Amino acid sequence: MRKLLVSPRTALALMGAIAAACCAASFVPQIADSSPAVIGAWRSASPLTYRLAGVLRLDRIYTSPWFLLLVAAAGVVLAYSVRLQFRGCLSGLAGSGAPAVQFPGQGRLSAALSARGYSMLPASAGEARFAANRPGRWGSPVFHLGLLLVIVAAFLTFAFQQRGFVQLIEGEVFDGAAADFLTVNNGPLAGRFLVPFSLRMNKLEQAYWGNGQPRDFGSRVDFLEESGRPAPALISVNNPFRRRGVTVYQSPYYGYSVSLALKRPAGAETLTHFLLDRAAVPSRPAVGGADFPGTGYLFWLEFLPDAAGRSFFVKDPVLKARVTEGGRVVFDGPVPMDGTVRVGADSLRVAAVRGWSGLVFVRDRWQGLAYAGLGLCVLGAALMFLLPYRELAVALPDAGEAVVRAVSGREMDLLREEARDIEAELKKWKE
Amino acid sequence: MTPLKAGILLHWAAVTLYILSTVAYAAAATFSRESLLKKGWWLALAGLLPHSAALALRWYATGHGPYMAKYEVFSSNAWVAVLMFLVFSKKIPRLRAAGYVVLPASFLMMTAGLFTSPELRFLPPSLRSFWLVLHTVFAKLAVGGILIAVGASILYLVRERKGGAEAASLPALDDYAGRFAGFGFIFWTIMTAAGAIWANETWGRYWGWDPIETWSLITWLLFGSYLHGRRSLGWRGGKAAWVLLGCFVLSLATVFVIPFVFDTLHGEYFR
Repeated sequence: MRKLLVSPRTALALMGAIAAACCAASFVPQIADSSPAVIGAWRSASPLTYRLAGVLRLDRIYTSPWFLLLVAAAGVVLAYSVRLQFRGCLSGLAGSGAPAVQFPGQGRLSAALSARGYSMLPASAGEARFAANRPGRWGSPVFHLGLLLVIVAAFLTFAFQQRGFVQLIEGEVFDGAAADFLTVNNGPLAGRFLVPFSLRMNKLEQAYWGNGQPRDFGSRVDFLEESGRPAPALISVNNPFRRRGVTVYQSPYYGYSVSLALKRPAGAETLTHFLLDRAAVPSRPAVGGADFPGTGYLFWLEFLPDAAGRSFFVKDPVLKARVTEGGRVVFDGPVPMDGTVRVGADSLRVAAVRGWSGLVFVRDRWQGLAYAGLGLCVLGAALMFLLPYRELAVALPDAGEAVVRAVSGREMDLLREEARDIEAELKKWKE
Repeated sequence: MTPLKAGILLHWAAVTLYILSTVAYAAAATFSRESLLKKGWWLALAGLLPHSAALALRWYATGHGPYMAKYEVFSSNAWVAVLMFLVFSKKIPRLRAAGYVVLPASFLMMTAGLFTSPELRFLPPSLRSFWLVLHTVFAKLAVGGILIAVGASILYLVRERKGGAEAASLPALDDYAGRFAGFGFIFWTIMTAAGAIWANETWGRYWGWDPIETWSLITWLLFGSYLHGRRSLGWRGGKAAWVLLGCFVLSLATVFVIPFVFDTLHGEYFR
């Protein structure tokens, strides 16, 4: 077992297997990020491969037990390797107190080598040892420790992360209850996601470049706590807000909420909010549709907040509706902002138009561990390749010429060349 | 003349000089004339000047670094690759001959960029982040490092086949290939780490298995395997050179092909 853990072939096999699994996941449609239409088309076109992929979990590779096992195995091999590498480095440190070898012409040799960045190591079997870039020796263990931390953090995040998405209309309050999330994506070992504060959505802010491309968008909110006054904050893309262990992110989903009031001939007025998705550019209308609860109506709405951009004549916002009932069109046309229209036997009016914004709430206690792992990876890789450890041994036969030998380094052929250069340099000095 | 038009003209001037430099490198390799290698180096340096001016003008006109749209991405990748090559081949003259890989790759990237629409594009909200700068700078440095490593590997394979006096330099070339692949690996690691932290700041997750993220991981794993193989399994010489070329083809696919094949969050920079 120990042999298997320390074998470089095991590490290579695991890296190859993880790469192959990722490659497969790129080509086999994954349930988590494919539309139902794609999955449906696959199922009807090739029922056998669809079933086989389901059995082997190829349609959800990244959460499949075999993939998690593969990554866990990589973690175990890494942990073992990190332990051995640190032990090796520490044992090198422990020996550094030993006296360095004394020999004739030591000053000249040390000067030649220190000009190339080498310093003398403790004696070893009658040879003088010199090393350059000594911190570089720690590169590999630090890099592998970083990778191990990233893997551990990934598993902990996968198991315990709490994540919820909510759509809030301007003026609405999210009270932090788990049931109020539109979608929740919690880890298998995470409990119910209860947000320890309430949040009121005040205003959706949007900014555009001169050519109409979105420049920035965000939500002006108030954090409401049981004690104290509301704390205002702006949550925008790339600027999440952290509060009491929960981070709130601006999602890319936002748009307009159109509130419509429908009055039946013999009944009270009913109010419903339709959330329309914003268009890529402000000159295009926000669109969306849904049924009107309690009626057989199906609404499709198009809302243009700034009609002036497309017409010299129309300046106000424009709302267009297409209403069907049992497949039959009962209304198709503009709905005035301050009037009513007939929809079948009923009357319809616009009660309000406001912005809505999608916010993502995340509680991830392992973020620091992942960041530390990434930082160590970068530090370790930099130490390994920017400060590559090099070690030379110099044998000094009595009254003979120094023999310089390459002992350890990432680039042994270049190190041998350097050893030959040093030998030649020393010979020149002697002459 | 607008800065945009001036930039395009300067780009074409740089492409012309890089082509001349490539011709010098190719002639040096064909006729075994060292003096042509020096001419190739100076021509590449001459090309870098209008290239730098073109990128500076573009930066001035757009208000952001050269990392939006194919035109800017290709051009800045080529600039970093040529700059890295000039610096390292000055320091390590034995690497000069790798110019016949780095220079053609650079002018081909630039020409590909020039033939796409070079109109101005503004940064969308998700790309307006400090992490974008770190992420893209290190991606470009990785491309530069890998290109030099590939140049050294191809040089190795060519000289190995030719044999003769040049064969004496083979072990050192092999080590240089490993060293620059190592540089590419560090920069790829930093790029990935910066991307993961940025993704967490933007979307609240480090890793979303987006196609580019996935293929970037695959490339990283393969370069890691190559370096592991060199370090622990004694992969050297022709075998290592071929493995590195395989990794390079994959990294090319990751950066330049995957955004066209799959629907990806990273597609924004390459539209």
